[in-house]
Amino acid sequence: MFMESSYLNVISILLYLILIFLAVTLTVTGAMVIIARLTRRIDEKKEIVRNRNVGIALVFSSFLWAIGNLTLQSIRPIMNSWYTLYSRGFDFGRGVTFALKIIGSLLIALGFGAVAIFLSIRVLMVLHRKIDEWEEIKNGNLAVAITISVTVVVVGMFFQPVVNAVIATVLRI
Amino acid sequence: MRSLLSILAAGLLLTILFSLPGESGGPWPLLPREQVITRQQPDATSDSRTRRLYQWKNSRNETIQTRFEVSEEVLEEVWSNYGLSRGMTHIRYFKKQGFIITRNILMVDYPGIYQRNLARVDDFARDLYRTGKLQGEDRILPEFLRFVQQIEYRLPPMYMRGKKIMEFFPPLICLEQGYGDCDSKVILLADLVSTLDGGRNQFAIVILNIYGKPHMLLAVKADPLVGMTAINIAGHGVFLPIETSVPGYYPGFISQMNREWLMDENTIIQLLN
Repeated sequence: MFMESSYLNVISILLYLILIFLAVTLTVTGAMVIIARLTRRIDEKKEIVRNRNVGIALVFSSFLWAIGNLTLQSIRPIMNSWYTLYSRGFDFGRGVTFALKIIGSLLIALGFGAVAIFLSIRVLMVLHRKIDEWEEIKNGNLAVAITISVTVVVVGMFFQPVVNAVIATVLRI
Repeated sequence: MRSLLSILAAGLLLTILFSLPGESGGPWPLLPREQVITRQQPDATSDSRTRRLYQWKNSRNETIQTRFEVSEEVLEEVWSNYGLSRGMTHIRYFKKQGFIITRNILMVDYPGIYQRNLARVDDFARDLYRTGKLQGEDRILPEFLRFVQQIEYRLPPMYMRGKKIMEFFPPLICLEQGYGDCDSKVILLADLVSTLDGGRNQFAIVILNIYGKPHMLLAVKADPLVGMTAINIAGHGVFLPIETSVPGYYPGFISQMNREWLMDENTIIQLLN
């Protein structure tokens, strides 16, 4: 029968959990770095925790969604590659290469997330040149926050099917 | 002007991203990167045998050469038992010629063709096993899958040799022609594996109706491991879908779009053995 190995199952579950942990860590860190970079005049932690600024929370959540969705997309090709690697047999060199490829895939996903966010924000800022969106959001303008969040989510969705192909092609994973 | 150009550039970028090529429903994986099979034109030699040399890469990335050889008599026998000639409009011809009527639609009798070709691909399956340097029975399916995925993906014609073949090549014809589409490759893989493992692996075919365009996957009965897609066939257990059309997919992994269409009500699942 094809694939009968509890040993493989245990290792695969461990790898899967590690991948999810890495993806989540990367997502949260990436979203925090990007929002801090985009909103230099705003202390987003203070705005969310103390001032309960729903607008900033909404935008931050959309960043989380966009990056998280893209990093999670990279897990399936990695698992596909893992089973192939396992079935062909692996040595130390192949193991190290595989680990590097995992990191590379997640970073590519993060990169795409960052590009998606910057692209959507850029487009909006070009469209509304006379408006300072971040100042509006800081002042509690929910309408602007919703517009930015939805744009980020939609652009993130556009990039979603591309990430896997890029990972597979660039890293041959 | 600058803002207009920026919007146009952003729109162009999104358009390019959206229209990236994908095979059988989605970009992942893989943009065809392993075009490794070099085909030789079949040479009908004086001993009336057709030969074709397959050059493919096994999972250890070794280049393997496997020779396919079949006599003209066997090919003639395959052709005589497959395809509808003019005048074969009566239902009694259909089963004999490899077709069935399902839901008032004429379609290829995949289980029938799978059964009748088991013995025919036996020699080639053994050659593939020997030349591919496979070790162990559990290596048969993944390695043979790699081989089948590397066969050129091309749609067979609707008519060939004056017969209606419904864009499907039986396994021997697929090997002789050196190309095939999703269903041709599915039945070829199922036959190649089954002839060696004596039918220990249970197979099913899964026909997806993607926006009206059918796509076929093979499915093998096995417990799914984490990250894999699985299908529960009521009364028969859990099966892993297998993408035979393009390289890169391991059993249990299919494209995102195929996964979504798997749950569609028009998806047809049929056991092969």
